[in-house]
Amino acid sequence: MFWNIFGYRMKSNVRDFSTLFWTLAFPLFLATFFGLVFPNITSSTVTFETVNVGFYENSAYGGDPYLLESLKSAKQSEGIDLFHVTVFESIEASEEALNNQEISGYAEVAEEVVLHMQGSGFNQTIIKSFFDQYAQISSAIRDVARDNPAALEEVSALFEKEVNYTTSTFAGRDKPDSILVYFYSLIAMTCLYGAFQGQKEIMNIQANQSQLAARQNVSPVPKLKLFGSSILSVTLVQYLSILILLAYLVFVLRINIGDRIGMILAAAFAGCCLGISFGALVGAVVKAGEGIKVAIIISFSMILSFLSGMMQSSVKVAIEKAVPVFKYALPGNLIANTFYAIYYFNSNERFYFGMALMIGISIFFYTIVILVLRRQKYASI
Amino acid sequence: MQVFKVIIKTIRKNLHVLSIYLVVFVFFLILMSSLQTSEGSTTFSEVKRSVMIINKDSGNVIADAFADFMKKSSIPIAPVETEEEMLDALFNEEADYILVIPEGFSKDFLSGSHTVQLEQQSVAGSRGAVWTDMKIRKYLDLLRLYTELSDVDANDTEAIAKLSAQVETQMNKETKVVYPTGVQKEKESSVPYFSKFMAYSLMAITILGVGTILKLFTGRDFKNRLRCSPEKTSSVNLQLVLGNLCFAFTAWAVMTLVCLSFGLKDGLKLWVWVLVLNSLVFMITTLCMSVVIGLVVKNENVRTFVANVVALGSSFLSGIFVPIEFQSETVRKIAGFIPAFWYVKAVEEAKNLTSYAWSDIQPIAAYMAIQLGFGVAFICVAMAVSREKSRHSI
Repeated sequence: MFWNIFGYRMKSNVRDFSTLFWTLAFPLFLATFFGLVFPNITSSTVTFETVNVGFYENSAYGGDPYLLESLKSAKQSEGIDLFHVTVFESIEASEEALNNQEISGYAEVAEEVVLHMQGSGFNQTIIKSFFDQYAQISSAIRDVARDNPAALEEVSALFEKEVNYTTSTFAGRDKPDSILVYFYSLIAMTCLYGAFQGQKEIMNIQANQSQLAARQNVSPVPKLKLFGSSILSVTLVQYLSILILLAYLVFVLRINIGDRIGMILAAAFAGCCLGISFGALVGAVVKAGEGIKVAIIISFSMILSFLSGMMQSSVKVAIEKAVPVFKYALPGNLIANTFYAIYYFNSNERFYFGMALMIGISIFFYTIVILVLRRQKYASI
Repeated sequence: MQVFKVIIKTIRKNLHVLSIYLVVFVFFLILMSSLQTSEGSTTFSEVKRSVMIINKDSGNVIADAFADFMKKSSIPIAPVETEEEMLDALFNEEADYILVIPEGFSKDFLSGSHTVQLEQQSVAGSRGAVWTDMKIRKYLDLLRLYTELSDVDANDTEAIAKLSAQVETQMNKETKVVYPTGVQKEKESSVPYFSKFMAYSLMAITILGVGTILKLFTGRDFKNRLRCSPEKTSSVNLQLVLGNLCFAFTAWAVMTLVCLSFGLKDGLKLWVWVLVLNSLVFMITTLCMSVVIGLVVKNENVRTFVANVVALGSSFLSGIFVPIEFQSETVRKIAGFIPAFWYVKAVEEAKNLTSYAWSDIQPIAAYMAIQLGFGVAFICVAMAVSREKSRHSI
């Protein structure tokens, strides 16, 4: 009988297009928007790009032969230039290029170097930093030459010797990428939308909530069996929705969510159980019509998705910094952080903690649901 | 005013669903206003990066002076203890760079061997990494110049301190920066930011609200009941338009007030009122769009779905959540077909207004006109849909 009901519930759930809209189509739509918008953000805001700078040397001035050479040869890293230098013949041409935003700034070289900038952005900071450094080193060399003229010969040898002052000790499993927060929150939202399914299944076994439930309640099937088969079928459908979303993210949008597939599948399953159990809890505890229950689920999942960084990733960071316990206490953040742990950390502690919490909360919710639903009798419907 | 009363009743009944978006909006405003700390200035202000400095060689002049310099020239982030917390800070962009000065660094630096390297964690090739590497190189190159040319004794702390002071003096030398005439940097107001986010909530609320009203009025039974009532069709239609307009206007007014009250601390300049006007125009366009959606989509579930897809989709593509300049050319081209894109363009233009000559206001007026153009197009579609439906009614 269990598998019989399970089969029918499966058929019914797969054909329930209005719920599938929310649990499958809506996340896919959002994922497409994210996929369109976010890949460019990483490249333009985070990654360094060679800075366009202008150079104008006043002909009346004797000039510094090393300055332009240093500017052109400055490197960000091996093979990547720090600046793309345009030499201008007149100040008017330099101004025009600046106004047309062809360059981030230009240096007017006369008795002293004057930088002409528009705004105080990152590129302008890099330009200023270079010219400051040049001025400081020139001044230091003059300083040293004044105290110890013999040492001046050593200076060029000193600068020829390239010293590497830093070494990378990055201990993460993969590259930090804050854009992933948006995708984690999307996965969290999809898991939480499983609440619609959970609520619907509970409604279908409470005789005072739907006609189908009334019919099922008069049949000689124990309620626990009804509950178990319904929840199992809905969990399977919801899990499939999440798997489709994950496959879409990985194979179509090419989002790197980590390479530990087993852990990703396990986290998706636990998140799915958390969402459905939350819906079941609302369905069992709230004594109101379907509209109110759906409104509660929408409100919660919307606010929890917002807090897990779906609209602004900084919201998640701010909220977790202000109240650290929210990292795990808010279901959206809990799911997102478990996926984050899989992607980013070599150690599995956070992952296991997240998993234990998700499963623990789901069991807790289901226990309440069973306690509320068991031995429920209806004198009048 | 029977019809109008029914509209008010319907809205009141669905207030709990509609208020979700208002709650999200207010929540966002509270969070964002608490995060905003940047101050404006009229001179060049360096774009500083956040660096977490962990000095394990403290007590040595070289390491201490270097750590002090890095703290002064960056946005210092409080050091954390565990490796995982460091990784968190890096991922969440709280710190662009984590710099650890290892034990024995000072001694090794003075010896000139440079075998004890600074340990760093950053996103390779990122702006933060490039900026911080430049700072480190700038300071240590100068220090190396002084130490190697002066043959200072590693145990002579006084002489080392003198060298560090000389480096410090050199580091204070700056290149002169000038701005083109008329460019004055001001503190960035939060109102444009809030105003952009308002569009998201406004779209969601209006589509849902208008959809709910239209669902009722285009329902077969209700429509037939209205037809046999003594109320004139023109009066019904007028009340329907008035009701929808009142609803959208109230939603807009509440959000505008919330937005302005949060931005009050930055001062209500003239361009803020241009933003208010722009949002009013956007409200009208959204209302027209909502009428089309309301006429086409009957199912309540599908309507909520469409409201969310349209509101979130428009917000992501048009630059409400993510600045448009960061988006690809293809996305920008697609976004041109979304009214919210022109709304955001007008906000961006208005926030930079310094004078109010027609030539300055013209682009904003053009963007508002485009939004109204979308509104007219939506009304035409709505009329066509309505006409088509009336042919098949009863």
